[in-house]
Amino acid sequence: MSVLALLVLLLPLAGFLINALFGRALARQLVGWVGAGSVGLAFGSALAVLVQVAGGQQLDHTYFTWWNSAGFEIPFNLYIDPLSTLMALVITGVGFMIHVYSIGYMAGEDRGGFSRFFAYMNLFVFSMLLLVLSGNFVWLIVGWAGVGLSSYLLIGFWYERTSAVLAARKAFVMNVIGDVGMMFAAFVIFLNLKALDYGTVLQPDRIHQLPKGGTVITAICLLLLVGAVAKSAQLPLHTWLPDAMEGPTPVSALIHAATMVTAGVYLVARMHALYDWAPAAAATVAIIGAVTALFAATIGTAQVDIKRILAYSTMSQIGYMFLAVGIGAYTAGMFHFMTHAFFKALLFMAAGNVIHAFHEDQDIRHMGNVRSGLPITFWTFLIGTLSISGFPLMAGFVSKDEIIRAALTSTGGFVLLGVLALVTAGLTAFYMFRLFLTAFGWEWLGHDERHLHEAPSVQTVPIMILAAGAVFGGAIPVGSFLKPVFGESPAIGSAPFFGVAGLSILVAVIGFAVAYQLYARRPEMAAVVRRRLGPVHAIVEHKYYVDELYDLVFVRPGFAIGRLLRDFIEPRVIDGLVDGTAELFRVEAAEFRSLQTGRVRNYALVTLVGAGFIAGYLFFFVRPA
Amino acid sequence: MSGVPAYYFLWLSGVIFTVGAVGVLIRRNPLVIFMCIELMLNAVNLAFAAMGRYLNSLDGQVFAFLVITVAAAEVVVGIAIIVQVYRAGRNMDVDELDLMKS
Repeated sequence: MSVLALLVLLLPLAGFLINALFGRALARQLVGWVGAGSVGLAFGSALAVLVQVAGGQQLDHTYFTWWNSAGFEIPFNLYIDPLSTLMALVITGVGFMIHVYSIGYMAGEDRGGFSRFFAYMNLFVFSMLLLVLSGNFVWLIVGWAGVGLSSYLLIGFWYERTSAVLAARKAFVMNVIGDVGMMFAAFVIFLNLKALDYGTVLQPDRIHQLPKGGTVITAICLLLLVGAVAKSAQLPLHTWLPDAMEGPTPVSALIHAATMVTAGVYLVARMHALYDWAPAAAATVAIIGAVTALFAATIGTAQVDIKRILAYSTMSQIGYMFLAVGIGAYTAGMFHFMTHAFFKALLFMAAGNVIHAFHEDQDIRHMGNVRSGLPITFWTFLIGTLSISGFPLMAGFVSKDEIIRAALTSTGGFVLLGVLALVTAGLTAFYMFRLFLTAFGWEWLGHDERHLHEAPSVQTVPIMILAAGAVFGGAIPVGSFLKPVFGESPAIGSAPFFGVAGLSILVAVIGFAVAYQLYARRPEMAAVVRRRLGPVHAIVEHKYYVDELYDLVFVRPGFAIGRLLRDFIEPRVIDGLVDGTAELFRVEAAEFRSLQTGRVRNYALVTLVGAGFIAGYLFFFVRPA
Repeated sequence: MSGVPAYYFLWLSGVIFTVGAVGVLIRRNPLVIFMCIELMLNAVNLAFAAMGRYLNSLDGQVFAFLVITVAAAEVVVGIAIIVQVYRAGRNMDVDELDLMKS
């Protein structure tokens, strides 16, 4: 199994190397199939690993020692258990679908751009796999930073666009904040637990030597949380995610569904032994998650850019996952991660088809008549919308319900978070159907008959496969598969089960009904409501002015300091010191300049007189011994 | 030669040195100045050799050889400079050659 696990990791790396080094020389078709095929083969290897893991095997295999100095050793080891297997399967599986889709979607790029795109995508998948498969903190951080790097490259893929470059830079800066948190977490872990490999650090016996809820363990968990929050675009480090929409749509699908933003959820789940021992930090995770879920959902209701709405829905859904892992419902969190990967990749890729059909216009108010032009895209998008909105028995319903149930039946103040999650579920149904009805459904309003073309099958087939996952994914027995990692999940009676299910269906139906009223039946009412809400609507539409706040608090002072340094410190202080020194010597040297007459005989006389003085001194004052 | 007292040599050396030093100061032709410098060096050599003999030590002769070596090297450099100055068409007068004046 150790070879298989390594293959999962190395195949995307090989794809990256081939496309990065020879991509320009290879035929287009070959570039695409190397890019997609390497991920597909990695998926095959991950399936083979799954067979063995499902059979009860686990693995913590050291392939080589990367660093060895005075007894301090950093191995390169892979840690294969049900959790990392599930992550690897989703990353490679959904990633494979997205890669295949990209072959069609990126067909308009020239050859250099095409191979560059697939090289970056493979690097992205490789980094993410390294992140989830690695068995120690050093390689975790390497993968963590690699994901940040490749997301930077992909968001700024169209580097001729200023907005894309700015968005890429923003994402990178936000991610580096998280990287710093991760590194400090690793430092504190090493100082207190004297090891960096999961096999040692995550031993409950080892952790329980530290005081429960003490400063050390809480600090570790909160520092890890900084990394998780930055990578997963949770409050308050979320602002990069909507801007990341500047990248090509498959990138958005990859960032949002299979990789990157779920890294934070994986991190908390992987470190659950630590978080179980730091209740305050775990509660922080849950609160951040629930608040982000609601926060992002409200923003989603007022956006008009199709990709931005989906971006905020991702933030919101990741918030659910954070809530789940924060309250200890790790299985539910990972379950939602998987179903979310299905329906979110599907939604993004379908949205990509629509955007292409409307010539890169992303404003949902300009779209319409999708059903007759792009029937496959229409129906799959509807499936995705139903799944994310919590339509009964869809994958999204099953997993989201598990989280809400876990929150509502938990002890302490988490019940309140469960209520927040319920409200968010209603909002989710509202904004998703607002998007769907506005962008896809104007035909029953007698909208114009535009001529639209369905995407080629290389783009629609992956979407249909994911649609199957979005419908039936809820039946996958993730809970029992993850039992070796998280232990038995507490049994719940049928009353809360059906009660919570009924509640969440109720709020989803309310959300749908409101959206249907406002955006399908009586669109004139939407304007009235918007006017009534006035400032509230403005605040939500402007994303609560968080970007503006950060601009005011961090960016502008930063620029101001820069200007101060440039306009005052540099020319006055630094240059003043340097120029002043030179000036001092110039003025002083003028005094002595007259000594240099340039006459050889003058110099000779001075030398001679000097020699005479020395001789006289020796003669008169130095007595021979 | 053993009959000649050491101070005779020192007097001779002093006279030659003085002739050389005065020559360096008053002459304006670089070649002549050079010859005067040689005079001064050889006056010193003479004093070294004489004192070596007088004190019955080889140190004086060793110093004399060192001075001869240095003088040879110095002549090479000096003559090369003089030839270059001459080729550049400059006046062979050290008072005119004052480019180094600040």
